[in-house]
Amino acid sequence: MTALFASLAAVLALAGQATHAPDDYKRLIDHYLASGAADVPSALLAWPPDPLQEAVVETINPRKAEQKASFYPASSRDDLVRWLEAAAMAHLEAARLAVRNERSDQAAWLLASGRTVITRLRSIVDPRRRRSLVGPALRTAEAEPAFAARWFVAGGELLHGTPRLGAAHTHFEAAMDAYPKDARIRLGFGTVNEMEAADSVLEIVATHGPPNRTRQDAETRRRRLLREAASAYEMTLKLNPAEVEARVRLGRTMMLQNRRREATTTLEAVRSSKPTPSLTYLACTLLALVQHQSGRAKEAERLYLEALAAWPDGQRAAIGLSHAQWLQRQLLTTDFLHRPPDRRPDPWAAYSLGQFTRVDTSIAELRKTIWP
Amino acid sequence: MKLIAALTIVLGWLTLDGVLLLQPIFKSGVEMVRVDALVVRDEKPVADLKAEDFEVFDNGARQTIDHVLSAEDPIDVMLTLDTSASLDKAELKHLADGVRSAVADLKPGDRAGLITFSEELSQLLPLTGRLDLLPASLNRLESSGATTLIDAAYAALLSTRARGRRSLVLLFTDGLDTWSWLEPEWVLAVAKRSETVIYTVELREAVAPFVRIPGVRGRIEPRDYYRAATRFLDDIVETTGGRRLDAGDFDRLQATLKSVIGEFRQRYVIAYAPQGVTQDGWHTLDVRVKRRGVTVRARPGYSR
Repeated sequence: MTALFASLAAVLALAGQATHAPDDYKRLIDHYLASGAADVPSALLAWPPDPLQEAVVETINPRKAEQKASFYPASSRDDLVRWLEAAAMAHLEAARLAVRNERSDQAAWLLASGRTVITRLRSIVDPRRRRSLVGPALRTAEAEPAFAARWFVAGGELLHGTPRLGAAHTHFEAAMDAYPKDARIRLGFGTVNEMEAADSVLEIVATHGPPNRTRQDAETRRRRLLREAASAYEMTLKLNPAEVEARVRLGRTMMLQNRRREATTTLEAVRSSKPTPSLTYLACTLLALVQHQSGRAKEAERLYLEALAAWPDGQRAAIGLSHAQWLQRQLLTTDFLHRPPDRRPDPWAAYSLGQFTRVDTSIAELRKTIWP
Repeated sequence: MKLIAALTIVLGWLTLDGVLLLQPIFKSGVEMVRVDALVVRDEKPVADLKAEDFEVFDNGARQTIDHVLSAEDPIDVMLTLDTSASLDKAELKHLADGVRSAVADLKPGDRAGLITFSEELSQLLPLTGRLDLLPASLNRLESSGATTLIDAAYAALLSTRARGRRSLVLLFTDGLDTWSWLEPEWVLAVAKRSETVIYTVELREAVAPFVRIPGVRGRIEPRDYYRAATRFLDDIVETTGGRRLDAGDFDRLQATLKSVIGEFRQRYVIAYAPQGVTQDGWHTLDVRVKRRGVTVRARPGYSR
């Protein structure tokens, strides 16, 4: 731990040397990740989050930039972008560390803080914003880099893996404000809404509460969340028809909205297109459930078997199959309990976590964009 | 009694590589129905009852009791434990310690198994007479993910097939079902065709005292809704003739788990060949004891 703080101190000491900052952040991040530290470094949790970031924020204020002209020469715009990206990356990595340590509040705070860095980053490169915020030397006609959008996506994916779904909701709302036409951000927003609607307390109150205004509010909120989820998935598919996960989730959301016919059509489209094994599995199990709930056990059995052909380790389909067979022939099978140790996890097990399972890949890709 | 039990020929079960045909038990070609019953006086189990002490009515028709299994007969216990993410490491250890202590009361000839449930179901130990294997299985408890309580009840029912033995599912949970695939009614229908008894043990202290939900006016106290939201537990114990117990907190969990196994051992299994009733459909059961001041707890009926 002492070494960590020594490293941190060394980095902070470099606060005035902009040209080295991004790589110092990288070293800092690498150091934390390699050390297996049990906590997020306090320097990153203090407000302002980091003297480096404070310096950056000051610097992109045109007046302060003028005062510190020697500090950030006009030609260093690229350095400044790199520096801001590194600062945002540090927040994201620290947030991931916080999630690993089951400190979701810290993670939410770090990402909220990171969003201020991203705002500054976008203000440099967004022609609509730069006039008021950055000096002429920093202006550029270059299109906004993909980094910020991908950062939003990774942050949202990370927060979805925590109990702080409300924080994930806020994060994705900010992301949609910034990038209204980003399909992955829309998908993430839809997923958060879908899972907020599945909140156990909300469901209990909406389903079992006495007929009062609390229950009425709960029912309204649940309906609204499902509506927003469906809308976000539809928008995702408009922006990127190849985003098959959005179609699967749209189908499930329609099921929850009692739009069974539309749900079946939507899920059949996925099933017939035979995308990845996990998405085929999800579509088939959902279609099977529609049949199962309608009392058509034979159809359900066929679809469960198709799901298992796509993903043989799928436990939910195996349980559904077991029951569908029991309904038809009084067959009792417990095959779903006999699980090989090297099995692949059931895609349903991770479904409620949204795109959280992608977060490590997203962060790795993001790092490559700034530290190739 | 043991001799009679040993002579019972089970013809209805056909095992084909994990596929089992559930049929009523036949004795020498005659179908037998078995009813598991707890008899209590002043909340304490009543021991030493004989076949002649019981009366059984199947759809209102008095039945002739063939035999009764009692405390001396071995039992099967399928431990079915909630290991969802709401349990931390210390709580899992408490749970494992409690279960270890409870199963220490099992006797030679008894069998035990272990199923855990979170977002997945895992059979850590199939039903076995090797009770020495249980402690090692309990060391493998890990918490994660959601709660699939209803799916777990289904798995436990399927994993405890009577076959002339007395079967108990001891189902521990600290919360609400959040991610089961099966509908409660589906599992209850299976329970109506099973001879297994389910006891549930909960930790209601673990239920959050209150929460606020954005957009929902008022302070929500989940405990007010808990009973309605966990109706499945009431239904499953009612259907199987078991009991729903609240351990309250981890300090009392060990004693509660022990009490379940102790009480189950004191139950009776009453077997009879149905007479004067139709074959298929729902059969209402009424079990009585010819003694004053006793209460009988048994399943309210069965499906064929």
